[in-house]
Amino acid sequence: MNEELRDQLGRLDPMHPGVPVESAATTSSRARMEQIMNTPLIDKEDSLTTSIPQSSTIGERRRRNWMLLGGVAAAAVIAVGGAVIVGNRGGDGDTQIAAGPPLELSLGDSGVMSSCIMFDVAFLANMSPAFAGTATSVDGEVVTLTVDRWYAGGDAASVVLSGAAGSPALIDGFEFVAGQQYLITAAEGTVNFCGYSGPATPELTAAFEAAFAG
Amino acid sequence: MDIDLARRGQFESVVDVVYEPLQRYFARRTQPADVSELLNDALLVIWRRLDQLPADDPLPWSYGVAKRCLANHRRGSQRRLRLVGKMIERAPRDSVALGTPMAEFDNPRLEAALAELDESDRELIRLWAWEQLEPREIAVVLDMTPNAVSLRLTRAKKTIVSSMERQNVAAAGQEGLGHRREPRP
Repeated sequence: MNEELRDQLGRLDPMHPGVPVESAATTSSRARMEQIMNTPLIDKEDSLTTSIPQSSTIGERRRRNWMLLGGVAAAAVIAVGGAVIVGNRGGDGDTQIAAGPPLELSLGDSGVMSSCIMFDVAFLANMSPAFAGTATSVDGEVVTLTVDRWYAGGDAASVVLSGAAGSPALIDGFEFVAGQQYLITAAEGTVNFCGYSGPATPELTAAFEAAFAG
Repeated sequence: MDIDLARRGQFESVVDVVYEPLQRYFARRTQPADVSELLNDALLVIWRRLDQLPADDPLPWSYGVAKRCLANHRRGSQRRLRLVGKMIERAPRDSVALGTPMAEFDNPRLEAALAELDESDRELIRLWAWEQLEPREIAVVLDMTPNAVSLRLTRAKKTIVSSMERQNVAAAGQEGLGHRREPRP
C-alpha cells in the first residue's frame, strides 16, 4: 500500500521530474549565486561598514521593500499601552526604562521583512523600537522579555512577543529560550528578522552599539 | 581569504544539491512568479547560516529554511495587500493548489481524499510523496521528532486510503442503483 500510494500521489505532483527547472550550472544561476556570496555576513566585522551594492538587483529589490516599509513605518509606528515614543530614531542615546504596561509586538506577521534586506548597520540605526531583553518565559507562541536596555523607541520594562496562530516561537533560524538575551528591532508592531533581531551575540551587540551610539 | 574561499566552495557544493529541489519545492506551493524571489531568499539564508548546515545531508535542513521563507512570504503578501487598502479574504489554509497532475493521469478520488486532510497533514504527505523525504528527514524540515512525524504520516495515509475506499463503495453503490433503474425489456 505504501509505495503504491506514494507512486499515485507522485503522479499528482505539478513539479514531477519531467517538469524542467533551472540548473545550478546556467549562467544566470551562477550570477545569482555570485550575488548572494557577495552579501555581507552579519557575523563579519566588515559587515558593519559595508553598504548595499548599488548595482545589485537583489539589493534594489530589497531596497524597494525597505522603502515601502519606511514609508508606512513613518506614519504607523505603533504605540501599545502608551509606552512607545513614536518616531524615535537612533543616535539620541539610550531611553530610560519606565514602569508601565508591557510593549506588545507581533512575531507572526513578519512579512514586512519577508524579502530580507541585506544587513546594514545604517538600516539598523533607523529601526525603532530597538532593545536588548532577556526572555523570562517562552510559552508556546508567546515570549515575554524583560528589557535590559532600550536603544530606541520605547521605555517599557517588559515586552511581549506573540506569534501567529500555530507558529512556534522559532523564526528565522533562532529559537527563543528562557534566560537568554536577545536584541530585537521592530517596525509597525512587528519584529524584524533577517538578522535585525536575534540572540545577543557579540557581533549583533556590536552592531547595535554602532547603530545606536549617541 | 582562505576562509572566504572555503566558504564559497562549501556554498557552491550545497547549491549544487539544493538548487533544483528548492525550485520544485517553491513551485509546488506558490505562484510561478514568486519562485525566483523565494529561491533568492532561501539561498541567502543558507549562505548566512552555512555553519549551521548539516554537511552530510543539507537538503532537509534547506527545505526547513525554504518553509520559513515561504511562510514569511505568504504573510508579507497578505500584509502588503492590506497596506494598500485592498479588501482581501485570508486565503483558506487548505487552498494550496494540489497541483496539475501529469497529463495522462487523472485520479479525482485521490485528490478528494487529499482535500479531506487538514493542511498540516497534507504538507506531510507532500513532503513524503513529492519531495520524496523519509520521516526522519521530514522531522528536520518541520522541526518535529521523527516519531511524531511517523505517527502523523501513518495516520494521514490511512485517512487517504479509507477515504478512497469509501468513495469506491459509494461509486459502486451508485452503479448498482443505476442498474436497478434500467427499464426491463
